[in-house]
Amino acid sequence: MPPWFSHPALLTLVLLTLESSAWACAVCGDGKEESRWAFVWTTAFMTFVPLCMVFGFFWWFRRRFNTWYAQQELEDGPRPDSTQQSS
Amino acid sequence: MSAPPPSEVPHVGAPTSPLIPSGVMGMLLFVFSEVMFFAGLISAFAIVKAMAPGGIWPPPGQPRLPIEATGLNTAALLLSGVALFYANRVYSKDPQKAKLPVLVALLLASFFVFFQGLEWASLIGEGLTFTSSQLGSFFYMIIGSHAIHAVAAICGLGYIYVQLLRDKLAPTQFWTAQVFWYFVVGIWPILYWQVYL
Repeated sequence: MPPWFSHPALLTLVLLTLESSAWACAVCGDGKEESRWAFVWTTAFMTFVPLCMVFGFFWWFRRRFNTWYAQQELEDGPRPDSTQQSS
Repeated sequence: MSAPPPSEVPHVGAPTSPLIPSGVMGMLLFVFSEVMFFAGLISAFAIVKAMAPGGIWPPPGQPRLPIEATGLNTAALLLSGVALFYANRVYSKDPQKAKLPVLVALLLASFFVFFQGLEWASLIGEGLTFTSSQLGSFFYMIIGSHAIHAVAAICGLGYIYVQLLRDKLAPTQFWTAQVFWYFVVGIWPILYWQVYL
Protein backbone atom coordinates (compact mmCIF):
# COMPACT_ATOMS: atom_id res chain seq x y z
CA MET A 1 0.00 0.00 0.00
CA PRO A 2 1.47 3.41 -0.91
CA PRO A 3 2.65 5.46 2.08
CA TRP A 4 0.25 8.37 1.35
CA PHE A 5 -2.75 6.03 1.55
CA SER A 6 -2.43 5.63 5.32
CA HIS A 7 -1.87 9.33 6.05
CA PRO A 8 -5.20 11.28 6.13
CA ALA A 9 -3.77 14.65 5.06
CA LEU A 10 -1.78 13.18 2.19
CA LEU A 11 -4.73 11.07 1.14
CA THR A 12 -6.92 14.17 1.07
CA LEU A 13 -4.43 16.02 -1.10
CA VAL A 14 -4.24 13.14 -3.54
CA LEU A 15 -8.02 12.86 -3.73
CA LEU A 16 -8.31 16.60 -4.45
CA THR A 17 -6.25 16.15 -7.58
CA LEU A 18 -8.72 13.56 -8.81
CA GLU A 19 -11.75 15.94 -8.77
CA SER A 20 -13.80 16.64 -11.84
CA SER A 21 -16.93 18.69 -12.54
CA ALA A 22 -19.99 16.81 -11.30
CA TRP A 23 -22.67 19.28 -12.55
CA ALA A 24 -24.88 18.13 -9.71
CA CYS A 25 -26.43 21.56 -9.22
CA ALA A 26 -29.54 21.83 -11.34
CA VAL A 27 -29.35 25.62 -11.29
CA CYS A 28 -25.67 26.01 -12.20
CA GLY A 29 -25.93 23.39 -14.93
CA ASP A 30 -28.96 25.04 -16.51
CA GLY A 31 -27.04 27.92 -18.05
CA LYS A 32 -29.92 30.41 -18.16
CA GLU A 33 -29.56 33.92 -16.80
CA GLU A 34 -33.01 33.73 -15.15
CA SER A 35 -31.93 30.62 -13.25
CA ARG A 36 -28.77 32.30 -12.06
CA TRP A 37 -30.66 35.33 -10.78
CA ALA A 38 -33.26 33.12 -9.11
CA PHE A 39 -30.46 31.25 -7.37
CA VAL A 40 -28.80 34.49 -6.22
CA TRP A 41 -31.91 36.14 -4.81
CA THR A 42 -33.25 32.98 -3.18
CA THR A 43 -29.85 32.44 -1.53
CA ALA A 44 -29.92 36.02 -0.25
CA PHE A 45 -33.52 35.53 0.87
CA MET A 46 -32.75 32.35 2.80
CA THR A 47 -29.73 34.05 4.37
CA PHE A 48 -31.37 37.25 5.51
CA VAL A 49 -34.76 35.96 6.65
CA PRO A 50 -33.38 34.06 9.69
CA LEU A 51 -30.96 36.90 10.49
CA CYS A 52 -33.79 39.42 10.42
CA MET A 53 -35.93 37.18 12.62
CA VAL A 54 -33.17 36.72 15.19
CA PHE A 55 -32.26 40.41 15.33
CA GLY A 56 -35.92 41.37 15.33
CA PHE A 57 -36.58 39.08 18.26
CA PHE A 58 -33.71 40.51 20.29
CA TRP A 59 -34.75 44.05 19.45
CA TRP A 60 -38.31 43.31 20.60
CA PHE A 61 -37.02 41.46 23.67
CA ARG A 62 -34.88 44.46 24.66
CA ARG A 63 -37.86 46.80 24.29
CA ARG A 64 -40.02 44.47 26.32
CA PHE A 65 -37.38 44.22 29.05
CA ASN A 66 -37.17 48.00 29.28
CA THR A 67 -40.94 48.23 29.65
CA TRP A 68 -41.01 45.41 32.18
CA TYR A 69 -38.16 46.93 34.17
CA ALA A 70 -39.85 50.32 34.27
CA GLN A 71 -43.04 48.66 35.46
CA GLN A 72 -41.17 46.75 38.18
CA GLU A 73 -39.63 50.01 39.39
CA LEU A 74 -43.06 51.61 39.61
CA GLU A 75 -44.37 48.66 41.63
CA ASP A 76 -41.34 48.10 43.89
CA GLY A 77 -39.81 51.55 43.99
CA PRO A 78 -36.34 52.54 42.75
CA ARG A 79 -33.72 49.78 42.93
CA PRO A 80 -31.10 50.19 45.69
CA ASP A 81 -27.86 51.66 44.41
CA SER A 82 -24.95 49.18 44.53
CA THR A 83 -22.57 51.89 45.86
CA GLN A 84 -24.82 52.48 48.87
CA GLN A 85 -24.73 48.79 49.77
CA SER A 86 -20.91 48.77 50.13
CA SER A 87 -20.79 51.71 52.62
CA MET B 1 -34.60 56.38 31.17
CA SER B 2 -33.06 53.22 29.68
CA ALA B 3 -32.86 50.14 31.87
CA PRO B 4 -29.49 48.61 32.80
CA PRO B 5 -28.46 45.32 31.18
CA PRO B 6 -30.22 42.29 32.70
CA SER B 7 -26.93 41.07 34.23
CA GLU B 8 -26.68 44.21 36.38
CA VAL B 9 -30.24 44.19 37.65
CA PRO B 10 -30.05 43.42 41.39
CA HIS B 11 -32.39 40.72 42.49
CA VAL B 12 -34.86 42.38 44.84
CA GLY B 13 -37.67 39.86 44.79
CA ALA B 14 -39.51 37.46 42.54
CA PRO B 15 -40.89 39.20 39.41
CA THR B 16 -44.61 39.69 39.52
CA SER B 17 -45.08 38.72 35.89
CA PRO B 18 -42.88 36.80 33.44
CA LEU B 19 -41.05 38.80 30.82
CA ILE B 20 -42.22 36.43 28.07
CA PRO B 21 -44.72 33.71 29.02
CA SER B 22 -43.59 30.20 28.18
CA GLY B 23 -46.48 29.57 25.81
CA VAL B 24 -45.71 32.70 23.83
CA MET B 25 -42.00 31.84 23.67
CA GLY B 26 -42.78 28.36 22.46
CA MET B 27 -45.16 29.71 19.84
CA LEU B 28 -42.54 32.23 18.66
CA LEU B 29 -39.98 29.47 18.23
CA PHE B 30 -42.52 27.41 16.30
CA VAL B 31 -43.38 30.39 14.09
CA PHE B 32 -39.68 30.96 13.34
CA SER B 33 -39.30 27.38 12.16
CA GLU B 34 -42.45 27.61 10.04
CA VAL B 35 -41.23 30.85 8.46
CA MET B 36 -38.10 29.01 7.34
CA PHE B 37 -40.25 26.14 6.08
CA PHE B 38 -42.21 28.51 3.84
CA ALA B 39 -39.06 30.37 2.85
CA GLY B 40 -37.58 27.10 1.59
CA LEU B 41 -40.71 26.29 -0.39
CA ILE B 42 -40.84 29.76 -1.93
CA SER B 43 -37.16 29.56 -2.87
CA ALA B 44 -37.61 26.19 -4.53
CA PHE B 45 -40.67 27.48 -6.38
CA ALA B 46 -38.80 30.56 -7.60
CA ILE B 47 -35.96 28.48 -8.97
CA VAL B 48 -38.25 25.98 -10.69
CA LYS B 49 -40.20 28.87 -12.20
CA ALA B 50 -36.99 30.43 -13.53
CA MET B 51 -35.91 27.11 -15.04
CA ALA B 52 -39.19 26.52 -16.87
CA PRO B 53 -38.56 25.18 -20.38
CA GLY B 54 -38.64 28.04 -22.85
CA GLY B 55 -39.32 30.48 -20.03
CA ILE B 56 -43.00 29.62 -20.30
CA TRP B 57 -44.82 29.88 -16.97
CA PRO B 58 -47.40 28.70 -16.05
CA PRO B 59 -46.80 25.43 -17.90
CA PRO B 60 -48.95 25.00 -21.01
CA GLY B 61 -52.24 23.21 -20.57
CA GLN B 62 -52.70 24.31 -16.96
CA PRO B 63 -55.59 26.52 -15.82
CA ARG B 64 -55.00 30.13 -14.87
CA LEU B 65 -54.95 30.73 -11.11
CA PRO B 66 -57.92 32.75 -9.76
CA ILE B 67 -56.07 35.94 -8.93
CA GLU B 68 -59.10 38.18 -8.43
CA ALA B 69 -61.10 35.78 -6.25
CA THR B 70 -58.04 35.06 -4.15
CA GLY B 71 -57.44 38.78 -3.86
CA LEU B 72 -60.85 39.08 -2.21
CA ASN B 73 -59.99 36.19 0.10
CA THR B 74 -56.71 37.92 0.90
CA ALA B 75 -58.58 41.06 1.91
CA ALA B 76 -60.81 38.98 4.20
CA LEU B 77 -57.78 37.38 5.82
CA LEU B 78 -56.06 40.71 6.37
CA LEU B 79 -59.25 42.12 7.89
CA SER B 80 -59.37 39.20 10.30
CA GLY B 81 -55.86 40.13 11.42
CA VAL B 82 -56.99 43.71 11.98
CA ALA B 83 -60.04 42.50 13.92
CA LEU B 84 -57.86 40.37 16.19
CA PHE B 85 -55.48 43.27 16.73
CA TYR B 86 -58.43 45.45 17.75
CA ALA B 87 -59.67 42.65 20.01
CA ASN B 88 -56.30 42.67 21.76
CA ARG B 89 -56.54 46.42 22.33
CA VAL B 90 -59.99 46.23 23.93
CA TYR B 91 -59.14 43.04 25.85
CA SER B 92 -56.56 44.85 27.94
CA LYS B 93 -59.23 47.36 29.05
CA ASP B 94 -62.33 45.14 29.27
CA PRO B 95 -62.02 41.45 28.31
CA GLN B 96 -65.73 41.07 27.64
CA LYS B 97 -65.65 43.70 24.91
CA ALA B 98 -63.21 41.54 22.97
CA LYS B 99 -65.86 38.93 22.18
CA LEU B 100 -67.26 40.63 19.08
CA PRO B 101 -63.92 41.41 17.40
CA VAL B 102 -62.69 37.88 18.09
CA LEU B 103 -65.88 36.49 16.57
CA VAL B 104 -65.43 38.75 13.53
CA ALA B 105 -61.84 37.55 13.15
CA LEU B 106 -62.99 33.94 13.43
CA LEU B 107 -65.74 34.37 10.84
CA LEU B 108 -63.45 36.15 8.37
CA ALA B 109 -60.83 33.44 8.82
CA SER B 110 -63.41 30.74 8.20
CA PHE B 111 -64.60 32.64 5.11
CA PHE B 112 -61.04 32.64 3.80
CA VAL B 113 -60.48 28.92 4.31
CA PHE B 114 -63.91 27.98 2.96
CA PHE B 115 -63.60 29.96 -0.26
CA GLN B 116 -60.02 28.83 -0.77
CA GLY B 117 -61.39 25.30 -0.59
CA LEU B 118 -63.99 26.15 -3.23
CA GLU B 119 -61.26 27.53 -5.48
CA TRP B 120 -59.27 24.36 -5.04
CA ALA B 121 -62.24 22.25 -6.06
CA SER B 122 -62.64 24.40 -9.15
CA LEU B 123 -58.93 24.14 -10.04
CA ILE B 124 -58.92 20.38 -9.61
CA GLY B 125 -61.91 20.18 -11.92
CA GLU B 126 -60.02 22.25 -14.48
CA GLY B 127 -57.02 19.93 -14.40
CA LEU B 128 -54.60 21.48 -11.91
CA THR B 129 -53.74 18.62 -9.58
CA PHE B 130 -50.80 17.69 -7.37
CA THR B 131 -49.29 15.58 -10.15
CA SER B 132 -50.40 17.49 -13.24
CA SER B 133 -47.36 19.78 -13.42
CA GLN B 134 -44.68 21.54 -11.39
CA LEU B 135 -47.14 24.40 -10.90
CA GLY B 136 -49.72 22.00 -9.48
CA SER B 137 -47.22 20.33 -7.16
CA PHE B 138 -45.89 23.57 -5.77
CA PHE B 139 -49.30 25.21 -5.62
CA TYR B 140 -50.86 22.50 -3.50
CA MET B 141 -47.72 22.07 -1.43
CA ILE B 142 -47.33 25.75 -0.55
CA ILE B 143 -50.95 26.82 -0.40
CA GLY B 144 -51.95 23.52 1.19
CA SER B 145 -49.38 23.98 3.94
CA HIS B 146 -50.75 27.44 4.59
CA ALA B 147 -54.28 26.05 4.67
CA ILE B 148 -53.29 23.49 7.31
CA HIS B 149 -51.77 26.26 9.41
CA ALA B 150 -54.87 28.40 8.91
CA VAL B 151 -57.19 25.60 10.01
CA ALA B 152 -55.09 24.98 13.13
CA ALA B 153 -55.08 28.71 13.89
CA ILE B 154 -58.85 28.86 13.43
CA CYS B 155 -59.20 26.05 15.97
CA GLY B 156 -57.06 28.15 18.31
CA LEU B 157 -59.21 31.21 17.72
CA GLY B 158 -62.33 29.12 18.34
CA TYR B 159 -60.92 27.98 21.67
CA ILE B 160 -60.10 31.60 22.55
CA TYR B 161 -63.67 32.64 21.73
CA VAL B 162 -65.16 29.87 23.86
CA GLN B 163 -62.91 30.79 26.76
CA LEU B 164 -63.94 34.44 26.37
CA LEU B 165 -67.60 33.45 26.51
CA ARG B 166 -66.90 31.55 29.74
CA ASP B 167 -64.89 34.49 31.07
CA LYS B 168 -61.93 32.14 31.59
CA LEU B 169 -59.50 33.44 29.02
CA ALA B 170 -55.99 33.94 30.36
CA PRO B 171 -53.99 36.77 28.76
CA THR B 172 -51.14 34.42 27.85
CA GLN B 173 -53.55 32.11 26.01
CA PHE B 174 -54.88 35.04 24.02
CA TRP B 175 -51.39 36.27 23.26
CA THR B 176 -50.23 32.83 22.10
CA ALA B 177 -53.18 32.46 19.73
CA GLN B 178 -52.52 35.94 18.38
CA VAL B 179 -48.88 35.19 17.60
CA PHE B 180 -49.91 32.20 15.50
CA TRP B 181 -52.73 34.04 13.73
CA TYR B 182 -50.53 37.03 12.88
CA PHE B 183 -48.03 34.60 11.38
CA VAL B 184 -50.76 32.95 9.24
CA VAL B 185 -52.05 36.36 8.13
CA GLY B 186 -48.61 37.88 7.61
CA ILE B 187 -47.17 35.10 5.48
CA TRP B 188 -50.18 34.88 3.16
CA PRO B 189 -49.54 38.08 1.11
CA ILE B 190 -46.02 36.81 0.37
CA LEU B 191 -47.38 33.46 -0.78
CA TYR B 192 -50.08 35.18 -2.85
CA TRP B 193 -47.49 37.43 -4.49
CA GLN B 194 -45.11 34.58 -5.30
CA VAL B 195 -47.53 31.84 -6.29
CA TYR B 196 -50.52 33.63 -7.80
CA LEU B 197 -49.03 36.81 -9.33
